[in-house]
Amino acid sequence: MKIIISNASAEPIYEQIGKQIKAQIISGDLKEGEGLPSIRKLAKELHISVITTKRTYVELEKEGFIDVVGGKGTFVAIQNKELLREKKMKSIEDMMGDIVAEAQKLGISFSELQEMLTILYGADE
Amino acid sequence: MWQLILKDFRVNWIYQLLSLVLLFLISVLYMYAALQTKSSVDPDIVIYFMVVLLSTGITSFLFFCVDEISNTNEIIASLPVSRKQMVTARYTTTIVQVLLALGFHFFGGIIGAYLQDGLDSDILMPIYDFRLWVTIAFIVFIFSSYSYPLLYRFGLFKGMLIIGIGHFVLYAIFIIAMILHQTVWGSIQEVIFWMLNLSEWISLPVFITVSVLIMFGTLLTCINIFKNKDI
Amino acid sequence: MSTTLEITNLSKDYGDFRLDNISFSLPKGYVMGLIGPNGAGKTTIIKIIMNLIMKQSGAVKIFGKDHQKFEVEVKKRIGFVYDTPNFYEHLNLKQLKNTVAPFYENWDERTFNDLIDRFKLPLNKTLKKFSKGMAMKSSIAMALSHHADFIIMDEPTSGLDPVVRRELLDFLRELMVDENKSILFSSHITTDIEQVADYITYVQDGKLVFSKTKDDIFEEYALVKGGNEMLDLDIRKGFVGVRTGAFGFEGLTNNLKETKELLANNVIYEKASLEDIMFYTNLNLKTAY
Repeated sequence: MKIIISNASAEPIYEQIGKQIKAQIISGDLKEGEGLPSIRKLAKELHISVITTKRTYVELEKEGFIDVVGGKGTFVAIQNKELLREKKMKSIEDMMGDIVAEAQKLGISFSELQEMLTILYGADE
Repeated sequence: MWQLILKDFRVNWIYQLLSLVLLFLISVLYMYAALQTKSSVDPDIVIYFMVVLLSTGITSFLFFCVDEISNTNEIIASLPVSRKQMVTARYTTTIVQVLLALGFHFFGGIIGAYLQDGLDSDILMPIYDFRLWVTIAFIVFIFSSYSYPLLYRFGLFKGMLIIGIGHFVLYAIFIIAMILHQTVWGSIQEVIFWMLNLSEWISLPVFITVSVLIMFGTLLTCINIFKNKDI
Repeated sequence: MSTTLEITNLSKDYGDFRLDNISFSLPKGYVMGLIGPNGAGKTTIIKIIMNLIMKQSGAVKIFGKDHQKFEVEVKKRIGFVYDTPNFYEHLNLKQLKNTVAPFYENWDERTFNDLIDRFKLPLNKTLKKFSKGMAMKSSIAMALSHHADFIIMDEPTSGLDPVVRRELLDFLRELMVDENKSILFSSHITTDIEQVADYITYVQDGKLVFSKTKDDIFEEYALVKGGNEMLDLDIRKGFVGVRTGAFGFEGLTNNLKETKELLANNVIYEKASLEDIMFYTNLNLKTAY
């Protein structure tokens, strides 16, 4: 597991950690059933408050990414790959929604936007 | 509790040893010098016991002083001990210190006399008289009994000042009384001799009981003072 | 969740200084930093907790028990680190240890020796010759060798060089991996507190400004910077304190959400450090008088 946090970032630390753990679960770097460090261990290693790491784990558990087994530890939740993908798709959709809204504000046409996306995606070659 | 008592001797043994050696030397030197001049024995022995009394009284506050000056009460009080235990331990170490001090004086006196006169010296008679030593211990204990509440209440320097001034005033009254009425000194001597001539079966138990009661009473006073004191 | 320390309505009047109705609590397993300017009452609070100073009113409970009624019992489980090494300076560390150890039934010689090794402390050198850092480290070693559940430290980092300070903070973090430990430490070096504390209690002029989790504080408080034209009376009121200059203002809000609704993107928001919070709170109090 790899986590890098930035104190300068405006994003709250618990979110920074949550995002990185989620990304590693979705990418498969963290396998299903794999143990995660305890909140106290994580707090010590990252030099942050136990309250912060606890909050991260609570949120991740709520979203179904991890299971907290009392007395045993915290594990990556066994879950449907399809479901994970769907969750990720949903977040891409949300971001695209933001892009469309911004583009419309600036009066960028659909074809212009499509062109930008094609270039960025590297599909024009 | 016993850790507190041990702590005093463990930590301050060097001061304690120094004080005892000093008392010992005072006795040796005084005896040696007093016998050399061969003046009349009586007043010398009275002065000798005065010296013993005074020096023992002063060194009885040794541990209290060291703790106050090195400002360690704060640390001691943060250990798992109560204020009550701290004061009780202080009283206990005082008693031990007084008894040790008298012991060192006793042997110092004997050795001083022996060096000058040999073991058959006349002066050894009163030194061997244990009633005198019990009386001195009694007076020192009474002295610490009323001094400790003052020290705990007012702190080391103010407390010492009050005790000093109090004694000065007391002596001044005595001296003035003696000057005004020649009979006062005579009656004081009479009282002393009367006490000395009492059977030890009466005087010793009375002295010991009285000093135990007074010390216990002021111990409770000190605990109450110290309990509510900011360190 | 059990509470390690619970202080309710604590007051103490010194005439020229008054500790006024202080209440806060520290749950088991967390670190609390006690901050405030010099003379704010931090040491007084700590000394009252340790029963070195008598409170005048209020209650102090440690491990759920009254700190005076159960004084000895409670202190057995406390490790107290004092800011100055006032202990018989003619002793060496070994003699000091031999004096203190018998007071604790749980004294653990192995832990002590490990700490001495770790801190590289000489056992046979007199304490008089110890540097401030060494004295602090020995004080910590003494306080942590009896498996204390609650560690109380009064200004442990003041006067230490940055390397030693960081070592100490790392050590505290390691300690907190054990969920049964709690730490209360005071400091006017707010960056140290920011690094290790879970809860922050801020006192000023004997009064409690707040006692909250660090996360909550940094979510509520923020520095706001913008042009002076943005500062009308209403906006000003919303700030804890404001400083204006020729080119703009800088202010501290303690309600970031509301400020954002009011000022939106016309200003910039920055994370406020504890030092910022202390500075502006102090500014606010001064103008209030």
